[in-house]
This record gives sequence, structure tokens and C-alpha cells, in this order.
Amino acid sequence: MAMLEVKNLHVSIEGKEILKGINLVVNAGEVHAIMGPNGSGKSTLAQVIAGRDLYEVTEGDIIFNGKSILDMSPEERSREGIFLAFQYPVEVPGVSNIYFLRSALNAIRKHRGQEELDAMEFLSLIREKIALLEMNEELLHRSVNEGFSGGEKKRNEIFQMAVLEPRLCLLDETDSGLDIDALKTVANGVNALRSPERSMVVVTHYQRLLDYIVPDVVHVLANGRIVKSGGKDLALELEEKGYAWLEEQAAV
Amino acid sequence: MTQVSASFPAVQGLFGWREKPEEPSWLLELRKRAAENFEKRGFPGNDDEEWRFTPLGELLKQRFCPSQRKPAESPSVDRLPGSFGGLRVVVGNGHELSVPCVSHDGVRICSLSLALESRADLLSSQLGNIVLPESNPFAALNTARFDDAVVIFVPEGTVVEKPIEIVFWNMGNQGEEVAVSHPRLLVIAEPKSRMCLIEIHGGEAATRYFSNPVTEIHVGKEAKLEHYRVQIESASSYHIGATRARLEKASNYDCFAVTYGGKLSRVDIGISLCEENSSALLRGLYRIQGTQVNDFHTIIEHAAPHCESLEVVKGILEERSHGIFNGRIIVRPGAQKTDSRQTNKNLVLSRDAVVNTNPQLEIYADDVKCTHGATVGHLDETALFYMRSRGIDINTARDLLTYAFANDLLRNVALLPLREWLEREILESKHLNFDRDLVEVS
Repeated sequence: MAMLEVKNLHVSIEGKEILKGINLVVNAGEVHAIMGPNGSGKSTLAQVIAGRDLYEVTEGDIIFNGKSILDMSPEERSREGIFLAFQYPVEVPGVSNIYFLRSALNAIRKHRGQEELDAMEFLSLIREKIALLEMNEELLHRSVNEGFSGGEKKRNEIFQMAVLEPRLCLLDETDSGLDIDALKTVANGVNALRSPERSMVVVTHYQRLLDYIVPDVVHVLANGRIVKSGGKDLALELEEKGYAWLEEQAAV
Repeated sequence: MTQVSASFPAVQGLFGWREKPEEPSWLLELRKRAAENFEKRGFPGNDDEEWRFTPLGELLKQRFCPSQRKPAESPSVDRLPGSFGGLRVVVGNGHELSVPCVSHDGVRICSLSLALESRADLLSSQLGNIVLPESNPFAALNTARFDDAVVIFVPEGTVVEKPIEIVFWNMGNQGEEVAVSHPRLLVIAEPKSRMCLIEIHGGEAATRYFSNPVTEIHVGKEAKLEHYRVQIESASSYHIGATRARLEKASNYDCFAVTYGGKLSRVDIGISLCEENSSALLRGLYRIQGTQVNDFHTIIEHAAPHCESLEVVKGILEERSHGIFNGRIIVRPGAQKTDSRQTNKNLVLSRDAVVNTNPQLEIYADDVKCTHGATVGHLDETALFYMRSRGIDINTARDLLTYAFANDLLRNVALLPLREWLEREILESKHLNFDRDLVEVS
């Protein structure tokens, strides 16, 4: 069954149309890569699915597990199992990482009808997950993302994902700003979360990340439309030829 | 002239000078001088630059009555915890102390009349000399009218381990008239002494009163004074306060002023770095809602070289509240190598709240480092979305961000029970269930 169905999605910001009729079906257990040049609408698609209200959906629908989520708040979508790993993780000075994460986890657990975790249970859970991302435990007690390096911020996103155990992971340019070692660590973290019940949509500009997170399907987004879809070899073809030939097609 | 000044004679009988013949002649002179100054000037009108943004109109239209001379009752425990771990002295309606004189950890806390018996010389050189009656009409009024004063004397070299708490508690008036009180506090910290002072102004909920306190602080050579000034007056009260500290050589003064209460509240906080190598830290935090008004007027005066000051004032404004910050930094001629920094940050949580922020730097020396900055902002939308995208509901996300804004200052409150109480008061939140060990950022 399809976990995510994006149907003829049109999205505008301040009257400017950015997504011009996206159709996308992601089945449970699949990893889809969305590639495309800058400004093609890749990040917009990820943010709209997560519920960012900056954007206006003018037409179409987003179905998650058989239900339309357009009327859901970002927190409802998150509790239903959608997770967005941000391209630019936000600094929240004065709120500790660990408190933030515990509030998030307990909100989600409550929604699922599970007991909230107490401080001790929570700590043992995050110790287990933090090892996966090879993160310094000291970062947990610092303010959310404040003073983190680019790599630490990205690891923190995947760490949060590992703790919250979403059903749909949206990774928005998770590779940007990472050196090769950090990229491998982050990719390992992501791969550890792959499962038949979990889907992933990986938004990236470069093919590089897809060497480590191997997709089932690759889509190319240009000028707000998916102009080509294919297997993982499509990413290699794009790496070789660039995006220009597809953008020309899209402009027609 | 303003409408207020025109109606002034009607209230003069209540606000004018009250002679207390038993007082020494220098004090009678001081009171007379203050009363004359006030009578000459009256209440400030909108044409007074220093009071331009402070909406006094409603206060001055009230009918006033003197506050009752009642023994101090224990403040309602739901507003105020039992104690912050030190000695607490309660002053009812600005009149009498709960205990006339007490010694604790080497510090003496006395009523003015008792202090006059033993230390008249010292008092005459300090009382009314730190906050001058001429400095502001309300301070003049307090000086002319205060009934009793609390005098705290910290002898040379005394290190007071536990905090000293002075609670000015207003029992107010249930009726239409507004009860007036003039609390007065004088702190003399002699050289090399150390103390933590918690000064709390509050009153019974749903009572009407006007509290007009003045606090004077002398910090002697190499002394260190930590001062918390917390205002939690009732929602229908008025609070116009003045506090000033004078710092001698190599002394250190750390003031944290917090305002949550009152319908209209203004505090004029002054710090004078009079001798070299002294340092001052002034932090201010307020959170207001409804139609509350809070005005922080601060003056940091660098009168000697090699002194440093840091000032951080933060405001959280909800609904139709109005916040005013006026921060003057004066660097006197010859105060070279001054290092003075000032920041004012305002978090506005509604469209209808108003902030006036006005930094004023007056620099008369050439080798100084002075910086200031002011911001007025809303909660960061991107940060809100980030938190919500992790399943945190919007109200909790807002509270967490608001908490974080205040926590930047509150986390520095070393006294844990005080800090917890201030946090609770600022959040008044049903969404957050804090687990201190987890919230704390290192």
C-alpha cells in the first residue's frame, strides 16, 4: 500500500507558483530520491509535506496512510509519523537538546497511546541512539543546535529521527555542508533506520549521498514538475550530464 | 500645565510633608526640603521628558487614602514561597517591621527609629543622599512622607552567608480609594562585606494601593552586594519606585530587577560607580499582559576611571501591554578606561503590545568602550515550525521559546528556590512540566 501519495500538488508562496502539479507515490519500505537543480522546488515539496504554513497549497492533495493531511498542523503530522530532517536545522538558544527531544518523544508517544517515558528510561534510550550517530553526549545538554558545527547539526537531525522513529522520513539536503566522513556517518544512521515499514524521501542536489543511501526510485524535479523518474542509475546519469537537458524538456 | 497638576491641591493634604517632631533636626530638614521640592514641582506631566512615556494619568485621577498602620501579615503563600533560605523581614504597608531590630549572621536589620539611636551619624550621611529628593518627584514624596524605614547595616568584613529578605507587603484597600504607602530601605554595606539582598514588593490580590518605594544602597570599598528586586504587586495596584546604589573603590554590585505585577509599574534604577575599579551588573526582566504597563528607567553613571558595567534588560509583552525602557549611560569627564555595555531585548507576543525603547549614551571622556543595542521581536517562526515538526504542540513551543528568552537571565540566579519561583511566576504555564536536570543547558 502507498504510504505517501502526492496528487497533482500545486503550491504557491506569495502568489508565485513553485510546485506545478506534482504526482508522487511512495510505498512502505521504499526510498525515493528527489533530485533537481537549485530553485526547482525540492525543498518546498519536503516542507509542504511536513506542514510549513509559509506555503499555500492551491490545488491537489497529500495523502499519508490513506488520509489527507492538508488540514493537519505540523505537530499532528509529526505525531502521525512524518519527520523532516531540515536543510538548515534551527538553533533554539536556551532550550536544551535533551529537553526538546523528550518533549517531542512524549508528545508522539502519547499520540500513539504509549506511556510517557520518565527521565531514566529516556536517558537510556537516547544513549543507545546517540552511539549510532557517533555524537558527543555533551551536545545533548547544550541548547538545541546552538554553536553546533554544520556536521553536528546534521547528525543531530538524524539522531532525532532515530529517537522519534517516524514512518516517513523526509531528508532535505542532508548532505549539504558535510565532509565525506560525516556524510558516511549520517548515511549509516539513515540506513540503520531503513525498514519495510518505513519510507524515505531523500532530497538532494548531488548524487554523492545516493552512493551511501541507495534509493529505489529517483525523480528529477525541474521548474516545479517531476520531469523524469527512474531507478538508481538515473542519479548516475544526472551526475554525468547535469540537469540542463532535463530543464529544457521541462520548459517545453 | 497638565490636568494632573491642576487637581494637585486636592491631594496635597495627603501627599504633603508630615512632621514627626521626635526625629532629629537633619532628618526634619531633609523631609522639609523634599516636601518643598515636591510642592514646587507637583507630579510630572507629559511635558516632562523623563516621564513622557509613563502614562500617569489614570493613577493621578484616583482618590487616595493613607495606608493603614497594621502589623505586617504574612504574605499569601500562594504568591510567595515561605523563605528563600535566609532571614525574612516583612514590612506591612510601608510602616512597621515585623521585628524592630534583628541581628543575623553579623548583619543588623533595624527600624529607622532604632537605628537612629545608635548610628545617627552614619544615617545622616546616607539617608536621602543616595536617592536625592530632587532627582524625581515621587522620590521627593517618599522622602517627605515615609513612615518607618528599614535600615540594613553590614559591618566591615562581614560575610553574610544566607540571603536577607525584605518583603514590603501591601494589605491595600478593598474599597474605591487607593491606599498609599511609601516603603523605604537603606542598605549600608561597609568595606569588604558580602551580602545577598532580596527585596520583594507585593500585596494582597484584588486590593487597590499605590506603592511608592525608595531604596538606597551604599556599597563600601571592596564590598560585594548581590541585590534582587522583585515586584509582584497586585493586578490593580500602582508601583512607582526608585532605587540607587553608590559604589566605592573596587566594589561590586549585582542587581537583578524583576517585574511581573502591578497595573502600572515604573522603577528608576540608578547605579553610580563613584570610585575606580568598581563594577556593576544590572539585569532586568519583566513580563506583562492585559493592559499592564512597565517602565524601566535606568541610569548607570561612570564617575571614576577603570570601572565596568553590564546592563541587560529583557521584556516579555503579551496582549495589550506596554513596555518602556530608557537606559542612560553617563561617562563623566575623567572616567577613562570605562567599559560599559547595554542591551535591551523585547519579546512581543501579541500584535497589540507596545514597546518604547530608548538607549541614551552621554560620554564625556575619550578613552572608553561603550556599546548598546536594542531589539524588539516576535517568536521566531522558523523555530516554532522546527519544534512543531517534532510533534511539540504550538502552545508548548511558544512557552518553551518564551522560557528560553527569559532563562537567559534566570539561569544566572544562583539561589535555586528563588530561581524556581521566578521561573514559575514568569511562565504561569500549564503546558510545561519542567524537569530541571533536563531543561538545564550547560
